[in-house]
Amino acid sequence: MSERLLEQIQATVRHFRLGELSMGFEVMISFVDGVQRYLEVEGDAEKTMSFGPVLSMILEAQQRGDFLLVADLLEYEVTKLVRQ
Amino acid sequence: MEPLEQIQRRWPEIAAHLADARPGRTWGLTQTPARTLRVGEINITSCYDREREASVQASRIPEDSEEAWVYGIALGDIQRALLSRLALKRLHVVIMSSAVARKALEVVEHPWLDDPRVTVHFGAEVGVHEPFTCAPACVWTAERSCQPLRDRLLGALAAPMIRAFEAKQQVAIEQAIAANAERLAVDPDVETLVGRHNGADFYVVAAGPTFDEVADWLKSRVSGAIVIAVNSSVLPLLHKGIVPNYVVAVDPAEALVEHFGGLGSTDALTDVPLVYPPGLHPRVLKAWPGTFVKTNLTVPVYRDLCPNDPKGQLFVSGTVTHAAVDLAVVMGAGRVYLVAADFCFPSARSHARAASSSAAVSGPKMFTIDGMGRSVSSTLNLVGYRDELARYVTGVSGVEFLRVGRRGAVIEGIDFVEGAP
Repeated sequence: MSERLLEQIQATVRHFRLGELSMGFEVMISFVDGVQRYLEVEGDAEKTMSFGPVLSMILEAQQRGDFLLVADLLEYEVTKLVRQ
Repeated sequence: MEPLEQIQRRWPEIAAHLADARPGRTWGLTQTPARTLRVGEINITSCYDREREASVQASRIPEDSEEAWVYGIALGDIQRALLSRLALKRLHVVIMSSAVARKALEVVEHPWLDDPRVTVHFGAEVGVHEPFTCAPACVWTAERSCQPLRDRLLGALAAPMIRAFEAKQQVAIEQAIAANAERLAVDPDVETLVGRHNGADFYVVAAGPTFDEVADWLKSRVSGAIVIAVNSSVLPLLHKGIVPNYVVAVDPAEALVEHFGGLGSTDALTDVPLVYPPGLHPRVLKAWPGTFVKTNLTVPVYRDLCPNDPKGQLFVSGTVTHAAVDLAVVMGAGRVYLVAADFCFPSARSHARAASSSAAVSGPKMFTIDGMGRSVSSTLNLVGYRDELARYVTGVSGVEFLRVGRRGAVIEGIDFVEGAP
């Protein structure tokens, strides 16, 4: 499951870096679903807690239209958490 | 030599643009793993690894390409990545905002400006050229004069997704055409409406949020004129006691049935024709209480599936409002008033309050300019539809186009009615 999540992250990041916002949003919806399922399957409360702050930062950046920061947070912060 | 001096030496006309630039936003360099310029609330590049990001962005240009276009100068990382390619002979770099470019030139060195393969352009003076890539944050922060280019770039970047969406729609349209066969065999063709109201004033009424502000003005004007509603504006019009003369619906989605679900007493609509394409969902046709006129549409899926019947066709490029405007032109309009065709979200709402699809709008969006010169939120799709309408209007002769609803997005070539809301 983490492999699938990492693929979704990579696809979202690539779309945002290239300015392909519509496609980025579409994959990001799948990513959000994916991360919820991933955390349910993992069933690790500590891990779930560790995702909270970065997901909040992503949401805030998205609302500001700061999509390169969204890409950064996905690529460098969320990826690190998934791989841990 | 300082970057601004390099620009002055090689492209004095660009330097003049930069000299006129007014900051207008807050600026700063981030304290992050990779420092970047922050413009207002957004980062102009990655703040973790700029080189890696530039390599992704440069990958949009084929390795063996001799020419490339980069929209947005950012911090020069994409230019550096592309100029490292021996095959590249010409690199065009386009400034999308003088203020952003000027600040970017001030905060870091830009050695790419010395490369003889480079030409710098100003975004208000060029179009979209292939192959291209962009520094996306520079596109999103385009200054007003460069926003038409911004919108064309965003449209080009979204094209693969639009094509995929259309392919998905084809299946639904094929099924609907089969289900509607009986009705299609007997309904009159839109061709029979050609010139039906020569020289008349038409009001084409969409269901944008400004409907609520212009409805009283509209009600005082429609007597003796022809009112064309789109599916979502039927309900708001009836709430105001205005019965449309024609209704247009084109989207194959079953959800359109909701627009006709709460009509209440439908006696007033018994003789009102619904102008529809063969692929309209059968449940939507069933829900309409009036008469019917079939039409073809200028979209590839209909050219493929039913090229000869219906014979008449209406222009559509993403929104039913296009078809409603074209219907007015086909029927001989002398003047077309666009009402509540907003293409944006004034007051952060999606539609007029009485429309079944009316909702508060939040989440990611882009910005455009409204009829009062203010920034207003919109979406890539809406701005694209707006620009398609502007292009359509430039190709129509002998018809005057005006509009009401000043909090709607500016449409190039269509003026607002003096004294109207």
